[in-house]
Amino acid sequence: MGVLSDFDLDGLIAEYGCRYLIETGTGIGRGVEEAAKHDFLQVYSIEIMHKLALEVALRFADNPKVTIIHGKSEKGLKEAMEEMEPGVPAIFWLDAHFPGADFRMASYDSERNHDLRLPLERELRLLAEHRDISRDVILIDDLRIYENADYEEGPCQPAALPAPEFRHVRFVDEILGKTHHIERSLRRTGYLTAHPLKKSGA
Amino acid sequence: MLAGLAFDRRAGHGLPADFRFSQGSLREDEIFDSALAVPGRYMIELARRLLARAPQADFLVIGNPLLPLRAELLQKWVPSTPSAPWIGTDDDGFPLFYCVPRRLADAFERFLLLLSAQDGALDAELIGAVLGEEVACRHFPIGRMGTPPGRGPNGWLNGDRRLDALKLQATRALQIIQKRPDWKDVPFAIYYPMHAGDVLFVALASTMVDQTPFSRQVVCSAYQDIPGACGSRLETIKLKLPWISRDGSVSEATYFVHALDRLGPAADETFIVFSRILRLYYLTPFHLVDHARFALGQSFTDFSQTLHGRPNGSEARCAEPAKPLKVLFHLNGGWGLKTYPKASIETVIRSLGAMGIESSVLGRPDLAEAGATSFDSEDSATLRGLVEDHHLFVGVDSFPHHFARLRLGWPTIGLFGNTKPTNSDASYGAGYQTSEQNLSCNRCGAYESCPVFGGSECLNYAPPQKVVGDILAMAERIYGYRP
Repeated sequence: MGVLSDFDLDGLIAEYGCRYLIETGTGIGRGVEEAAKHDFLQVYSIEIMHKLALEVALRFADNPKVTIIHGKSEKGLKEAMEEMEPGVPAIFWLDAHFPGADFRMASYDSERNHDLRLPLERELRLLAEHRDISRDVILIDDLRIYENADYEEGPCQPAALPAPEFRHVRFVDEILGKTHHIERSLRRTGYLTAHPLKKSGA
Repeated sequence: MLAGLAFDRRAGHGLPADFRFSQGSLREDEIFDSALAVPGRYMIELARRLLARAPQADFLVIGNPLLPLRAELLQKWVPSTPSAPWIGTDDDGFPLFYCVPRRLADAFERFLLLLSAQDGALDAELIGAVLGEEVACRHFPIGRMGTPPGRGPNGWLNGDRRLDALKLQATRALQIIQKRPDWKDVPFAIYYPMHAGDVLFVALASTMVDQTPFSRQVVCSAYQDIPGACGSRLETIKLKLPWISRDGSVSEATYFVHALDRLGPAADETFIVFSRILRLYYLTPFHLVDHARFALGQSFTDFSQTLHGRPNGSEARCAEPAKPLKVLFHLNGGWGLKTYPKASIETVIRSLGAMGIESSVLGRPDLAEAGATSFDSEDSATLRGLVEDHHLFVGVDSFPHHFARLRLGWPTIGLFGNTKPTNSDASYGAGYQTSEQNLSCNRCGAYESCPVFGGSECLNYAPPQKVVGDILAMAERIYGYRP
């Protein structure tokens, strides 16, 4: 699994004017911990597993700049976007799969519902539907679920792989291709990053 | 037992009065038993009852509602008319009774809600700040009351350290009074932020009380749409925290500390009254909406005032033709044993399907094979649309059931297994009935496995043939439907 500290958050804030960070998959709160060190107006983290969401929410309860949302990512993203100031760029740090497996609370294939297991496409379409994402930075974790390559941490467990017809990221090009510069990284379990072609204030 | 004395200086004596927590009859010597009411709410009720019996009283002695006290004992402790307010405590400072001037009840009644009922010195300081005069504590050599047990013999609940939250509530209130010159105008908020059904009960209760000191309700962000959807008269204070687990892994007191942190400035601008379940609510037959009404300030003296004593607030029905009949089910109740058994519901759905009746379910795609269409509903507006698209609603003891019947007035059948119907059903009539086995083990309240028969299914749930029969009977009553 990837970590947010692999990215130069201060650089992204300076270069693209990102003032919010929205994470899907809170897990045990490592991403929140990292994001809270930087100058965001608000950090939102969405977690479907109630136990994880509650633990991290209580840990950060006295930090008004951190909001943990318990629920499906779609609901959480909507809730976060309703609160965010429109037009202010954000970093979206998206987990590519059902999160329980990273924390030994579920196996990779325990969720049969495809939408829950691999919510990435639905999440990106939701973002594009609800806001102008042309100035947002999108960071996607676990690229190895979608594409084969020589990743630092090896290939994806077969059980976690989607059916072949779903194993692609063509939808990323379709949604972000015209507004973002899309890059792949082999670090850890693979990252797909999308940086805006337009920079802050452009 | 709840006890008090009313002193009338002119008459020169104290009037003793003993009350009990009502088991349902609401006789003159009974006080409504509300799980959502803080001890201070019972102190308010005692003061109201004492003043009704002794309208000229100028001093009141109010026994701590957490303790099973009798007026006879209070008379021994306070034999003559007091001249100044004071609190009697045990060796550890645990308050036994409160000796207060009547102006506290007349002008500042609502501030009694903020008392800890745990810490005599803290409560003395709080009452003193409200009255603007010193309130002393006097120790009585009766030993130590100790920490209240998880489940007290007189119905109080201290599981998950919930009574500790009352100390925090009182401390915060005292800070507000000391800091703010306008403290008399600071609004009161009821703190019952989680579990959708309970948020609904409080919201509905707010529409059924004549007068209340509360103008706000603290609600977890996941449920923030519910008060509005239920027509609540209370302003919602959004608590941006996930709800607390039922497994006790986080105590109520700990969660309350974090909730106040999370509320930030809102917690400094509001008197927050910790109104989580503080008593064993199933000991009485009262509906939880009435529990909430009492907590909000309503006094009950007659059965006709209760939810069961009057018709449902609204009646509505589906405008679509009765054929094909459409039934919406909600079968998951928040924990394992509260879920209606899968094999039984499959039989119900198949039987209805064979008669041409369409079944839909909330959040159960696994029932597609039996012939039901599954819908997701993550907010009240979606749920309302789904309910109104079906002729009948059939649901376990959970939010959708209460919303469908108590708020929408929809024809509803309640499925009850391990919870007690009278605490959360509705007024019975053509448009409402329950379906269960009436086993004597109800209400066990167990979570994951049956404490009597074992297994993970509750045997008190009605069998498929009864559920199908009840559906057909209600469909005929309301819509004149026959398969």
